[in-house]
Amino acid sequence: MDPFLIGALIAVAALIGAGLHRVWAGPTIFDRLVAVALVTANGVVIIVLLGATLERPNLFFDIGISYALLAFLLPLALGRYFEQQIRERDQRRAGDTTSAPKRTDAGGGSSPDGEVSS
Amino acid sequence: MIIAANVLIATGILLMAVSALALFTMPDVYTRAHAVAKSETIGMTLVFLGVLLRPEVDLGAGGRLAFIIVFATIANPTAVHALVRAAYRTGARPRIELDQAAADRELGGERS
Repeated sequence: MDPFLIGALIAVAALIGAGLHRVWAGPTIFDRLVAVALVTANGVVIIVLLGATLERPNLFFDIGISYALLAFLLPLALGRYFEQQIRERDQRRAGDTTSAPKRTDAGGGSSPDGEVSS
Repeated sequence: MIIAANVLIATGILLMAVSALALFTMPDVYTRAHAVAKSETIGMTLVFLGVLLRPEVDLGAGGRLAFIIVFATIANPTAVHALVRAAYRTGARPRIELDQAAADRELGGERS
């Protein structure tokens, strides 16, 4: 239990708190995901430092390897998922604007949504 | 040896603190991702190298830690790059704030 390592652990935990603020306050979804990437990277650092502090490095470094693999897959999968979602939403909006005049011809009423979002 | 390890760990945590500070101060997703991809990666690597030099880490644990170093150095920028590519494809644009007074001063200096 080296006091230097305990101080380093507390410092990295404070940095995780700073990253969580951006996860909470980020204006777009990708701001939050970038902050999540920083938080998980700091999590790997905390696990490695814990292994050195508690003097059981074999156990903790194995946990760190698996956590690093998971933390690598998380932003890749979530980034691709949200990219697809936002693109589909935009395509749906574009489809609404093109199909709006047809609906006005059939229904005989004006469609303010098509004019606003065009 | 342990002094070198502690210096490496402290330097790495300083770089990670710069990266976390950038999440507060930077204006848009591209600049934040820049900080997370570069500064955080080199900070992590320095901390891991420092832990590798500590006397608690023997040979087997050192091999595992070497794998973590190589993997984290490759994986962290790749993940952030994928996020930024997704942000760009969905239409996020960098936020540019023009300093109009400074621009006028520069133009006036060139004219006179």
